[in-house]
Amino acid sequence: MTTLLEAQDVTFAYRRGQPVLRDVSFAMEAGTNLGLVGESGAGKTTLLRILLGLAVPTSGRILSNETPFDARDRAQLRAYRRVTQTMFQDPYSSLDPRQTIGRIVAEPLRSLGITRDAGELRVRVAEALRSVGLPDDIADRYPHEFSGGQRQRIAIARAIAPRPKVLLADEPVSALDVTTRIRVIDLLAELGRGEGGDYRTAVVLVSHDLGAVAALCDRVVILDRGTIVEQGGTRDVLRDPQDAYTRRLLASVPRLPRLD
Amino acid sequence: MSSIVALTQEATAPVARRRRRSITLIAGSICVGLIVAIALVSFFYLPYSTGDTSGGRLSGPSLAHWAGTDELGRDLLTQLMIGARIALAAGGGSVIIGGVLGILIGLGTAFATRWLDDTLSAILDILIAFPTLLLAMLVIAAEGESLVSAIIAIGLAMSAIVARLVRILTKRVLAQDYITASRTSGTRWIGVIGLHILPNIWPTVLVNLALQFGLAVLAEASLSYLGLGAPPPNASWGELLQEAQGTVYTAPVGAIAPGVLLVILVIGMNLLADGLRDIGDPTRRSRS
Amino acid sequence: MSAGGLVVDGLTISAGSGARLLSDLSFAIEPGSRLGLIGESGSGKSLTALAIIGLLPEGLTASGSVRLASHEIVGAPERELNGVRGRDVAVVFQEPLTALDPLMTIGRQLVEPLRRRAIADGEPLSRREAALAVSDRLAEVRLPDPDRIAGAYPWEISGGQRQRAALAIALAGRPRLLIADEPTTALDVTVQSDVLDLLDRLVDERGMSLLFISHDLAVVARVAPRVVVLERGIAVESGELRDLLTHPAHAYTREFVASARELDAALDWGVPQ
Repeated sequence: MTTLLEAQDVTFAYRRGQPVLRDVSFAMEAGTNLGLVGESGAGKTTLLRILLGLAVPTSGRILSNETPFDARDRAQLRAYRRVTQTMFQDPYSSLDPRQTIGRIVAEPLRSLGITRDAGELRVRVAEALRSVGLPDDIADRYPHEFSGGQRQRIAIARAIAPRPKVLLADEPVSALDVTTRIRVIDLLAELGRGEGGDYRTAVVLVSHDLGAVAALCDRVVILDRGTIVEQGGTRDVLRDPQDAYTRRLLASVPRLPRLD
Repeated sequence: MSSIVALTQEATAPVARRRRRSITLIAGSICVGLIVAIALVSFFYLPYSTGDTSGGRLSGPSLAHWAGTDELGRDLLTQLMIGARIALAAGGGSVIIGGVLGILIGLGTAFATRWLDDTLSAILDILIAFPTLLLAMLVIAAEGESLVSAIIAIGLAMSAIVARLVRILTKRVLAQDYITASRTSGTRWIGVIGLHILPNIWPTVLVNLALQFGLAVLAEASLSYLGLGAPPPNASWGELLQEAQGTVYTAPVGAIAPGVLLVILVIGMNLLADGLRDIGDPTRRSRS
Repeated sequence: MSAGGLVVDGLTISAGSGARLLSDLSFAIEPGSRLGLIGESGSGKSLTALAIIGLLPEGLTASGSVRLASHEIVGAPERELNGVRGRDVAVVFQEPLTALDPLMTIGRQLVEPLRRRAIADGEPLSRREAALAVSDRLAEVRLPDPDRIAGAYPWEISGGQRQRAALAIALAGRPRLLIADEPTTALDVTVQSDVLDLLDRLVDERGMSLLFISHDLAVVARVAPRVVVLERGIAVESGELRDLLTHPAHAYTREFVASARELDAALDWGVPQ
């Protein structure tokens, strides 16, 4: 099995500041979804910026497809972005209100130089929209015509249009209603199983929502104040948390009453 | 709370708003179109030559001189038509200079490091605090009295205001997730600017530029009024106003006509910009 | 209806265009009891809260009846409502950062309603008493180092601390009914848990009535035994939460409960294989 994405001893400190991430190491194998769980101040945002290539670790390194990757090197960054795409939490601010859906979904295809041919772009955009369960005739409409859940689907379509190997999803369902949330999680799960086509996209789910992580991710990494306090198979961590913080986190999640 | 406010706007606003917008667009187009038409006609046809003083001094409106004549016996309509050219040149020229410079400086400061941003912002604030007319007088003193130096001066002063606006608008757009999404899609900064930043700041900048257009026309008129504008015989409306100052009771048309044209142009420009803004905004366009 | 009770009868909220954002909502909260109002975005749950305190945004009109401690809220003049807000009813909103005034210290924002209440009771507070009361109230919502918090501005403290402070401010007028509109949605999970415990305890100790508004079934389950489910402005189901979870009657409730269950079950078993 190949390791799609790996962090090795990643430490990050802002200038003249305490490190906000300390010796963070984890690896994501092909065919698995990984959850990065933490509350505010855990260092999730910084870690995500590093994984997005928007920040460079102070020490340690990121490996993409088992090759070290340096975000300062343009060619490497470009190659990295062809295999790693992103989606964000806020369905309202993550789509440019002045672009049509077609242009939004086509942006990574154009920018990464995958294709600039109008006909091919149309085909790829339609394909991406269909694989997130949206009709392909919405390409000439604008984001404000869609609900939050539909916008997140559009954001997923944009991310998977270049057929990345990894999708970094930053709290993708936190802003959604419960019923919509479960559908978007199902959709993300389908990507990992390769149901969108003849390629598979594994998901890195960055979230504070243990329910969503449990429903989607095979492995989970728990972050607290910049360090990994626990990681392992989601099932094992949920059943038998080893770290005190993980235990507290699990105990805090509001649960439906047991009805037996 | 904000979702509730949005909800009410959605529920109440669109119909009334769209109708009002199209009216502003039409009214603005008519006002500005009128002045543009006058200026265009003036290139092909003028009732009299600019040096023709055969009309008799300060005659009132007549068949031969629709708007009457001035103190020297020149045809007033002819001068008003030439004034339209000058007003449009003053407004257009300074908006182009101020707009291009302002957008470049504004984008630059928005992307600059904190230290540079602070410094540039302070300079912009000083420039804005400096009266436009005073700046214009300095430029004219250095460059000599001409329409071009007035336009350059007004454009420079305008660029500081536009730059500050562009800076703050750009910062706001930069904070949106779609910018990060665009960058992580692989788009270069220059592409991000063209694809996302400019289209999203443009409506507000456009309205501001229209406002600045009006102010520039007024500024040029003020300079002319002070005797620092385009040299005769190509008089601007401001100069006509100044000349008519002494005879406002005996020959009121000379004072009223350039003033009315000035107002039509300035108001028309603002209405036009307001209407244009909504055409470019997909969220305000109706879907058939 | 005696003090602390709330009777909403046929409450309808319409926009200027005639669109109905809430249709014919009726429910009652007995003094000292609790009700959960559950709905997703656009269900009209937050509008309901605003209608109950007579603060509907411009352009929206309410009809029907909201009776709160012998006052009819719908159509009441602003002067009468001012007497009701704070004393009979208070609200805690989702985002304390926007609900609190950024230019005022927590202490000053808390002392205002404390003073008003004391004056209304005929026992105005001296400066010293007011300062003592402020740190008392902040300690009551379990804020560490109340004196430091009292002197801090909202943006200087954490989200959880802000929500506790907002709770203290809401409770300062000793309201008989507390409306909590998604009070923990913006908070971290561990903080949410603590704030829910605090809310639960304070409402209990003071014998207040509680209207708890949320989109999260599991959160509501912790504080309110009885619920009303709203879907696009219409109450589709109401009753005991337990019955709702076991036998949801309405199609919407069924889907809603099933989704919540699926996420909840994942926590027991991990990824469903």
